[in-house]
Amino acid sequence: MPQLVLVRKTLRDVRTAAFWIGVALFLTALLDTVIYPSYREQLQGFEVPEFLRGFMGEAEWTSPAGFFQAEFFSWTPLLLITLAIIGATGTLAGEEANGTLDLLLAQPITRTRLVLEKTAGLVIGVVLAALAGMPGFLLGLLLVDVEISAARLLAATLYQVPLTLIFLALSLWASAALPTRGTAAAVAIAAVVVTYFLNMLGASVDLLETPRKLSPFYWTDASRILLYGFQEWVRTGVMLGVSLAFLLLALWSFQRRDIATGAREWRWRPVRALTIAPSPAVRERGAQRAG
Amino acid sequence: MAEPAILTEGLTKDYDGIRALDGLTLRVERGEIFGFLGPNGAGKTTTIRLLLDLIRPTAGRASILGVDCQRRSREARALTGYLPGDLRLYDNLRGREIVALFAGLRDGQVDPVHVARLAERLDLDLSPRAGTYSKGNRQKLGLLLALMHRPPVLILDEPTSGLDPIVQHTVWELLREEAARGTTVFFSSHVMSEVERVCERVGILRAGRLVAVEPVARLLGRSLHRLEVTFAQPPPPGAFDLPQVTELERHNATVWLQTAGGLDQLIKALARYPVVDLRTEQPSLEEILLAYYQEPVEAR
Repeated sequence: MPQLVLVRKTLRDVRTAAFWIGVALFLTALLDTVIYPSYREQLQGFEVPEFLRGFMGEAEWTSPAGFFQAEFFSWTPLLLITLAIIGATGTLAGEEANGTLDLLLAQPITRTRLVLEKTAGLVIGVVLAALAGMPGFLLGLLLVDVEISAARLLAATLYQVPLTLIFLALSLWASAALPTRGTAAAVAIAAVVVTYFLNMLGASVDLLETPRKLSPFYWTDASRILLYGFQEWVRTGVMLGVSLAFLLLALWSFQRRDIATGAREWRWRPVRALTIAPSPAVRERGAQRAG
Repeated sequence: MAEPAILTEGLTKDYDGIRALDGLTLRVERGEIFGFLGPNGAGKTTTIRLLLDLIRPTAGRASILGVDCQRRSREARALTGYLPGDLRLYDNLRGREIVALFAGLRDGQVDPVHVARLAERLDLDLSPRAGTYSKGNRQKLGLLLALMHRPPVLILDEPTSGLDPIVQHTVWELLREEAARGTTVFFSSHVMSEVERVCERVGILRAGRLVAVEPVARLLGRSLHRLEVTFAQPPPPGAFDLPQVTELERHNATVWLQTAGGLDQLIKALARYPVVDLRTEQPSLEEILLAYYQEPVEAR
């Protein structure tokens, strides 16, 4: 049975980042829960400005669902996505720049196994970091009285994972296809920023109402889960499907290319990058025809 | 007939239109220590990386013990132990953690007792973090990783580069021991004296082309020597007119000579005059290649 050493190695690589992000989520969840009762009293009757509607989701601002959506679930995926980008760009482009990928791929493992084991390690790291918010909520619910279901909070917490996986797989693809870790991270971060603000602004700007639906953040409104319980099977399926598509692209890109020793040269050749190199069998047939 | 340990046929690699390896056809037999010699940039590392499927060939094919290096690359790599030329390790991991990581990728191929024996043989402490290892200890750890699963084929890219002479000797001894138990050792070097000392046969690569494959004994018979000899009195002109000797220069009682092949006749000729001082110099590999194999290769 495979020892999954690369899963463990990847978890080890992201453990520090995952730990501190987990601490941030725990403290934020605790603080949000504890301050909610006084917050609700202060904001009774307050009209939410239109441009902030994107943070609210479907719930009222002063309801527990609206409050936790606005104060927690609207932005905490960004922390998990940060972890995903750090980890995913480090696994391929990072290891390649460090020169360690060379020795790793000289072992009897396929490139597919390497990518999948590292992805599995990152997913576990993301899930563990995401779950770190739950003890904060539970502790807060013990201290103050808030009418919200712990099970729904857990479902909303886990609902951040499919969204994070999209950007994890996108980063992995960028890491496999682009020459440096910095470039791969920049592309992934740009995608996060654009889609995040597209969703937020789209809530109040009519022009962006349709384009907003292209943003993965649009499909991850945790307030729906906090209000109605988890019914987001289709949305989850779509997000997992998009993640899988990016993962397959990462595998395809990584399979086809040479491994560099140290940092790769920065040469942007999009057409070449997308060209499918002939397989050994095709090359052999060509050589036979030529010779 | 048994498949050779390493076989390449017309192996070619271009990088962005520049030919790094040009139609390499090479056969390395099982159990031999084969030196792959060439100046920096000759294509040695490219060949090794093609054998390990880290890079993909532009044309041609390669196999290890009959296993195709591209189509069955995982199986081919299972048969090899590899030491990269520019060894990079996980600096935050301890030596034993690195060993455990790479042993884990070989799914039960690695015997911990053998690892302990190798570490002892190499005088290598596996407790410190790799980041604190000296260059010599890093290279020893790299060798241990290459040897720990007892591979039938060892592929080593400049294994003694940057090592002090004591560690170099340890490495050479280990390679001879491995060959004695039937392992094929394929190692690249740009140091002539190293391959002379260790190898049975040598392939000489220059600007991406294989220019010769020779037994080391034949190479030794043709090796170049340079001598700087200071005599008590200037020797008479023509004193060293021997077929294999070229007198390069003389200044008063000091003569600079170059000889190709054996030194016996020259030593006897020198001994006819009182010698005050004698120094020898090993010509560079590039000079030897120029002297024996071909005209300078134009930049391509």
